[in-house]
Amino acid sequence: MLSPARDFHTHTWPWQLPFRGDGKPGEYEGLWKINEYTDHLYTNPRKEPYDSLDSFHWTRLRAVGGRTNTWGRACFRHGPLDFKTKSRQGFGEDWPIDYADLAPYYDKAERLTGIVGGADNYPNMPDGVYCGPPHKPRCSELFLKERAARLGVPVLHERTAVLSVPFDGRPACHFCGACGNGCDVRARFSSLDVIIPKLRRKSNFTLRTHAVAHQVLVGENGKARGVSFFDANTKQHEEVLARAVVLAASTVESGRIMLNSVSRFHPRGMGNSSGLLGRYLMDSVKSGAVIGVVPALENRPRANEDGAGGSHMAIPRFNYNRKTGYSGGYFILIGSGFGRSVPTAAAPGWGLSLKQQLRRRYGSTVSLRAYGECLPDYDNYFEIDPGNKDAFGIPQVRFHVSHKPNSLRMMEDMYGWMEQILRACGAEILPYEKKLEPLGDATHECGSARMGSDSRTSVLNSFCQSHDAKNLYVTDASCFVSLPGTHGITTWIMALAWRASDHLADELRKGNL
Amino acid sequence: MSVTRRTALAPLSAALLAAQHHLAQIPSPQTPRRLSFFTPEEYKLVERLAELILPADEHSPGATEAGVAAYIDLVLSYSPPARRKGFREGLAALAGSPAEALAAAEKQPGTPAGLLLVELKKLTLIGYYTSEIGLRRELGYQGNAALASFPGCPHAAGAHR
Repeated sequence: MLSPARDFHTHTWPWQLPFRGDGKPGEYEGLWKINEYTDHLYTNPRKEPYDSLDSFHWTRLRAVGGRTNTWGRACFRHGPLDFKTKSRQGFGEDWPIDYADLAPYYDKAERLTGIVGGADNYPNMPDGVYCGPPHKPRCSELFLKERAARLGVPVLHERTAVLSVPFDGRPACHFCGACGNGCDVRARFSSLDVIIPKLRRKSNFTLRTHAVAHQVLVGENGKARGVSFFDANTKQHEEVLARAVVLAASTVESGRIMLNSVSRFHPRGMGNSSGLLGRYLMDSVKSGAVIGVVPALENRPRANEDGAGGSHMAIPRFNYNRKTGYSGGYFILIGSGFGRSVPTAAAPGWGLSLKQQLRRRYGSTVSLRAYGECLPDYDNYFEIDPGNKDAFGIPQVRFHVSHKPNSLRMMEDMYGWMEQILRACGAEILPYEKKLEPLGDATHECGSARMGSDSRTSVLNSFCQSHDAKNLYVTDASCFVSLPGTHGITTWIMALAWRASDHLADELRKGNL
Repeated sequence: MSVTRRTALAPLSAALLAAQHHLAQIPSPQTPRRLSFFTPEEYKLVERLAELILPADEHSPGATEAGVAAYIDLVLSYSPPARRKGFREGLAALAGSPAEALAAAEKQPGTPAGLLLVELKKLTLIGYYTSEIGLRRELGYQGNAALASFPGCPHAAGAHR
């Protein structure tokens, strides 16, 4: 298991790393979460390759706690419209559940996680259960909020899983700003720090680490019988038998395990009678960054503005009452303050003038980046690549994905509004390339074992239970039917998983499995 | 449980120790024991060029003291052959004093000297602003510290500076 004090570079300075945080040239270029502070945590796709690396960024952190060790921590709730995209917004497919079905589980997930935020009463983004007040905004964020208000664009407190007060035996944040590299004091939620210790106090819990699961074992009745895995250290093949199997290996890895579990009962992979396993793969439609230099914020007195690792305010989806040429919406992330990165783009010349310009500019830049709704598309999918096996001999996946026309139309709107907002701040906008990042880059991949009430058009039922094998549950984001432009999906996954777990416990008690 | 400075700092120093242990083998950027890519002459030239791009002033030291040339030497030693070749050819194409050479290179985009300036400037900016001198002394970055609370913005509405 990871040891936060040993494994997370939370207080390392860039000059303590040979490549100043960037890593060797070309090693992680374009893979934004993998850098010299985190490369020992992630699986580098260039070292463990798969087909179509350029069209899909598949980010894997194969350790206890997975990507919650280094996640983005935003936890806005999704609302009633997001569960009924087809019937209420005219695109995609409806979930077989409503917001009301999930709301009590959002409560539970938030009480476990520890979320801080504001009571916003914002459309289609219900307020959560907060354990503390939101983190206080930086000057640049309040400035942006005032200027964006002139355009009617809302700026809200970030709702984040970084504690502003002590909670559940965990300390409040100490504002070193390095959450993306992990947290050494448990101030931000992770499964490793919060859930695993609670489970370890239970007598019927066994944690088996270094176990590389690759197949669900199938019994004589077509039901799941257990899981087959390799011990990562000894490379030995082992099996564990069970009354029920729950996959939560992260979307693509869970789908890969199921597709690799071929048997006479499940000839196209476990739970894949619909043929839809791997299909409808989604990820947030992520723009590039647009950076503005704001003269009103130049030459500010220096202050420690690291804060709770990232923005303290965000722009929620704001196109509800506007006619647009695309379906869905997007939110905008704000980057600002006296951080560690120095936007050097388009600073002309060299010598004293260059140095002085960058000193003046430091802390006056505002960077915006949009994350948009991704429509489920049958043609965005992954499948098993029989010719490509990983180090354990497990067949790898390959991706067939691209940005579809709706995403490209949304992109135009994203960049238009980001420019407008920056201009409202009086900013000089630095040159940028108008583009979307490859799918997967937002690390919100989901939807490839969608839930539904019809076993011909979905893989799981509304309790994340396989239509084909009643004692198989999939409790990561595989079950998603839509992926709205609302910030964060982690507590959504947790709420769905909690609801699935209640169902599983009920079914076991009733002897239905 | 309330967080005191003591409880906040205790795990913090453990992490710092761990990080320092992890990094113990890395030579200080200011004193390259040996060069990985440049000849000693090239190294001296790069050092002077980088200092011209980001010079010392009354506010803070420049690229030389920040160890930028050693950083560039390391990056190039791990770079693809084409990039290394281009850099070396660019250095060889410079004529006159380093200041004259930079001024001339600026007017010749696309030539070996012009391409060198683009590359050199990029690497100098990264190397300098990720050094302690560049980030803390020049820019005045105050972060990567443990705060008992985050103060937020002290200004009244409409007066954010």
